[in-house]
Amino acid sequence: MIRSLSRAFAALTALVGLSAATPAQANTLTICAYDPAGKSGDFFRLLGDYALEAGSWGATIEMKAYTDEETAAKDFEAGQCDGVVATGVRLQRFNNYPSTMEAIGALPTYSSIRSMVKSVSKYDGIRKGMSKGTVETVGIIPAGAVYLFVRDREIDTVAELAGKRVATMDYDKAAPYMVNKVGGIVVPADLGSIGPKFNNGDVDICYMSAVGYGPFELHRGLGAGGGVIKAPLAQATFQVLIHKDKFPADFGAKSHAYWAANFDKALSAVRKADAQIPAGKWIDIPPDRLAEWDALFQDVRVELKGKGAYNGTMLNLMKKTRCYQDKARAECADNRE
Amino acid sequence: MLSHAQTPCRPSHVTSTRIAGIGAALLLSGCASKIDKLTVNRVVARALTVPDVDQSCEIGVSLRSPLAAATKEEKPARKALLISEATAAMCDEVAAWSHELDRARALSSATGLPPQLRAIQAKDAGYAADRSHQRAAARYDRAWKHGLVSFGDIGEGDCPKLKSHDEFAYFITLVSGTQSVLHDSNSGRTLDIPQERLLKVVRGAECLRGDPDDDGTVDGKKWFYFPEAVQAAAWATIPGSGPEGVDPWDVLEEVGAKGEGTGVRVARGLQVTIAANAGREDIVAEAIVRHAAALDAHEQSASHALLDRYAFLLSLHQSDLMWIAEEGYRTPAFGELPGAASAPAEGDDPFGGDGGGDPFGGGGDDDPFGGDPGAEPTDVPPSDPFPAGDGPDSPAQEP
Repeated sequence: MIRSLSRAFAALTALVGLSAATPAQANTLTICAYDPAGKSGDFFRLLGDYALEAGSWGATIEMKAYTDEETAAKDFEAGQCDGVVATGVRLQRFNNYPSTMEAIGALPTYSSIRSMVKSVSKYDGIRKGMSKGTVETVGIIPAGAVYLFVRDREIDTVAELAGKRVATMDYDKAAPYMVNKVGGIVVPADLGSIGPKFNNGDVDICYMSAVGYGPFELHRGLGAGGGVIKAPLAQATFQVLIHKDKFPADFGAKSHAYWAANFDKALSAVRKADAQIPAGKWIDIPPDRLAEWDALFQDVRVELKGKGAYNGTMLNLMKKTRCYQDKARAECADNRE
Repeated sequence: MLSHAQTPCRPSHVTSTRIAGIGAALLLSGCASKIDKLTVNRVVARALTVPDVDQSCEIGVSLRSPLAAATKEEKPARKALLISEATAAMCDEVAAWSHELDRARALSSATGLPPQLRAIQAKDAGYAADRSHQRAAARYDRAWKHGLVSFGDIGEGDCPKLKSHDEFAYFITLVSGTQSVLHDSNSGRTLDIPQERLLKVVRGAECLRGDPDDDGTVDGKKWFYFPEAVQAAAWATIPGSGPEGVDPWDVLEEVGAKGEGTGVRVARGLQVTIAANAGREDIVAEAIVRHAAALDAHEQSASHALLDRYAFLLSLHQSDLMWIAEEGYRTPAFGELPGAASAPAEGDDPFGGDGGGDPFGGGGDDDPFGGDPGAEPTDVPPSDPFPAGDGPDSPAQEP
């Protein structure tokens, strides 16, 4: 009885809604959204809330789940979706300005990436570079700090990377460059093989955000003697990229404001993942050694800027952010970035 | 390998319990192993023959506390309890599905709600679904943990030695392990159930594969190909977790088809669920059609009708979500896909013969609506992001 009454009420509500809504009906825009865990993933849930909010900005959005980000990116390129959500490195080919936010060592803390996301939202000038041609990046979502996982926790200096086998993602230009630079051995891998290669001992080192620690059972590769270097290699991000002519004119500004306001909500999923790594597995790097790592990261960034992989303007913005937060950093006195 | 204690029972009250009924027996016997056996061999065996998920889940809800009270706290009837928790979780699962349909209806363009109402209704239904998923996850989690105590650390080391009446409890433990992770994810990870549990289930499922019919094939036929299906489901969900060169979607299709012949289509239901989660709508649509065809082609198992009904509900839910998204209402007839009815049936088009040419002349080249120019991003460098006064030297403050 109660159920039939509620159904009747729902039907009535729907009818009322329908009559009010008909004139305002807009075309539904599709965003191909990558989350490795699909519809039940943490990030896909966040995107569901975002899509609802976007309704009030004049865009009716449907999120379509993808568990393969290259397929999502290709479907976006082919015009099958009006927008795409994927990691910054995957979307680098569309515009290297936002993807450079994932540059090696550029944002060493969650505080620094939060500051950047808020700056993008706040300043038109910073946001301007998010548009390139017909596409625009309208959201930067933190996906977690990327850490080096080492099978031998004695490897905690730059010099000790020499001769070590490092699994690097096949679509990532920066990490192989860095590994070669320090005399390491690049072992190409993809998301499907990086975990098994590390766990089976085919490589000595891999890099990943903590989100992958549980699902890839990286504790097996760490064993008793391994660890996770507590100096983020980079900040992984999910980025929302759209065909801007399909969306309302001010969509980008509103969307960036949304993600800035919801930064900590997104970060909470990341922090949960970080917390899954047992305390004893973290390898703390003392400040003097951290300076070595920082110097290496900076060299790699500057060299990759020269090769066109990183965007110089974005590198400069991130340097300003780092130095704003920590004026004592050695790099604050130079003009390399 | 079995870690549960096989303590001898005191003289039992079995005779009187038979008279007084199963429920009283559970309360009075006071012996964990006896209650476990009675639950699996009698209560479960009978319940499995009735294809009524609502009824079984309510029994699970009702029996949990009496079962817990029937034994000493430190020696509970774990197998009975795990089955009770798992079946109770199905009530929450059904409730979560209902809320998910409400959410889909609010979001459906067919429903045509204005943006604000759409968002409010979708959020409310979403939060309601989260709560149901959370409770389902908690119950499945308790079931999984009872299973771990009963059978050891599943997925690590050797398989437990399973007596015939243990196998069903072990099977339900694996189902519970999988479901606890999936429902926790769907609730927004409110319980933080470790996702690597899925891989423990994958390894644990190997213990249900065998060759009971001595036909030389080691497989999960006895368990309706669930072991293979749950393994492939995890491989499809966690990149790199499966054997090299094996496409998990191919495995899911293969065991989905094989499982149909058993009259318990759990492998097919799982295939539909996992494909929907991964956004593989092509696979979902095909598998639903095949599931529906199998209902006609193969009789439902009499001994495990409940499991087959549950599998049907898994597929029906995804079908309902598709229908509501497109049409605003749930599946009119299982196996029909939205949009399919409006497409002309083969042979209905009198002009669609050789070459499919337009009988009124048009060649196709002058189609004014063809040839979308596409949208290649141009290679325009980003403009200077530092116009005067935009404050590049002062990034936003920390909140």
